[in-house]
Amino acid sequence: MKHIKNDIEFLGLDYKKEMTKIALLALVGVILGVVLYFVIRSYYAFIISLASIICAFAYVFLHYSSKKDALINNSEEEFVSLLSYFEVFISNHNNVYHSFELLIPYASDYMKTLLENFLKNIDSDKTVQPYINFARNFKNVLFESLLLSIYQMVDTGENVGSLSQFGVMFTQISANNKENKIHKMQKDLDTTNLFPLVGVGIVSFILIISIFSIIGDLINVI
Amino acid sequence: MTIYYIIFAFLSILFAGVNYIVSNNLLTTIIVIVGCFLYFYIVGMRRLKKHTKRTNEFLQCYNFINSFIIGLSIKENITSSYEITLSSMNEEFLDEVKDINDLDSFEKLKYLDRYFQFDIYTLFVSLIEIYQEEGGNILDMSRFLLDELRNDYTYFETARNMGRRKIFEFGTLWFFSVLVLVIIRFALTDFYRIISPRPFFYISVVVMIAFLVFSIDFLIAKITKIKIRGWKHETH
Repeated sequence: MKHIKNDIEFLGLDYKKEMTKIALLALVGVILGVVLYFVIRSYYAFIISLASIICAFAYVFLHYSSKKDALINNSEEEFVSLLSYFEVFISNHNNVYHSFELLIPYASDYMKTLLENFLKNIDSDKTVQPYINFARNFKNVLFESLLLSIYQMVDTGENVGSLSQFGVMFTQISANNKENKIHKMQKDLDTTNLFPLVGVGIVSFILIISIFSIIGDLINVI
Repeated sequence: MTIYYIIFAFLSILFAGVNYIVSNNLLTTIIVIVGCFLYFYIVGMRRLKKHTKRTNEFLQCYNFINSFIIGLSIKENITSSYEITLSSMNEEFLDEVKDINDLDSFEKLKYLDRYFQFDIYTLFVSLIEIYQEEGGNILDMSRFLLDELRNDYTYFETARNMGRRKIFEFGTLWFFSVLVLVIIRFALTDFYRIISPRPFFYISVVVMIAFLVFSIDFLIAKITKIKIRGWKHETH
């Protein structure tokens, strides 16, 4: 439950409200079970109701975890996009701190919070630690190397050498990101291939039931 | 957009025709044609209109930024670059800007931030502001911006081509699925004569066509899900 509470709070939702929603869902399941019992007059109604409640709970709890994973993956993609703007600001003689400040209007709410915390940490700690802590918000290990190269820009001054090192790393991450986006879109489009196959299944089903109904009629006649 | 209306009208008539050929039932054929029209024109068109608006804006934004920067690198003057850029834009854009002739060129660029709802355009305007204040070589200043714009355009074109290929694959697979039912109608006439009056058969055909329409909507939803980076309605 602690894991679920962490996921809910990570998503910026109210834990008590979400638990109330889940409790109401369980209550609806129980009421449906009782109604179903009076309709079908069998204790199987409660088994069906219990199975539905368990499935609903499993879905709801997995939902928070998958939403959290989706938010982290989207934030990685978003950060790569923001870094391309960062590159524009840096190349136009803005320093690292000011370039990150300039990124804030282009960021989503979640990324805005991360950036604002990152800048606050830089204000109080001039070492590499804020950069490492910021990189830990992302799963991709290359981000830590990238942020270290950005720290080097601060440490050694935004000279040509440190800029080109950042440029090389960023190009690699950007290319990976682009490939992943295309691959994700291809996978997404491939799911549509399932529908014609289900269509063939429906056609087969129609034929089989039609044949059975004809055979049934013949048997009745005999 | 007219082409989409024509395609949806054609599909609705085609599905109704298939339903009539297979089930020989006029009532279900009317239900299919009315259902298809309603579904395509209310749900399908809404998705496609939003997608078309967003992609047209992106293409115009791409064209505008590229033309402007090239014009500025030659003329070194924002007003002349703006005039050159206007000559390469379409009529819809020219209609949009005809009311802002009183503003100076930089204010026109800032005004267009409302029209081009992309973060990269806002970035472009701030770059032009820096150029206006400090001067410099606009091609050097905008090198990374143009790289990113080109990357976005390449991704957009790749996604669009993938979508077109998928439509062809999807259409071919469904064509063969539906062909099986149509062939039964003509190849097994005795069998067809026995099953066609049964409610189970003609209702199942309607259900299959409903599933087909739903799958087309699913495909449209996937194809129009091209993530154009920095589109303000998605990120903010």
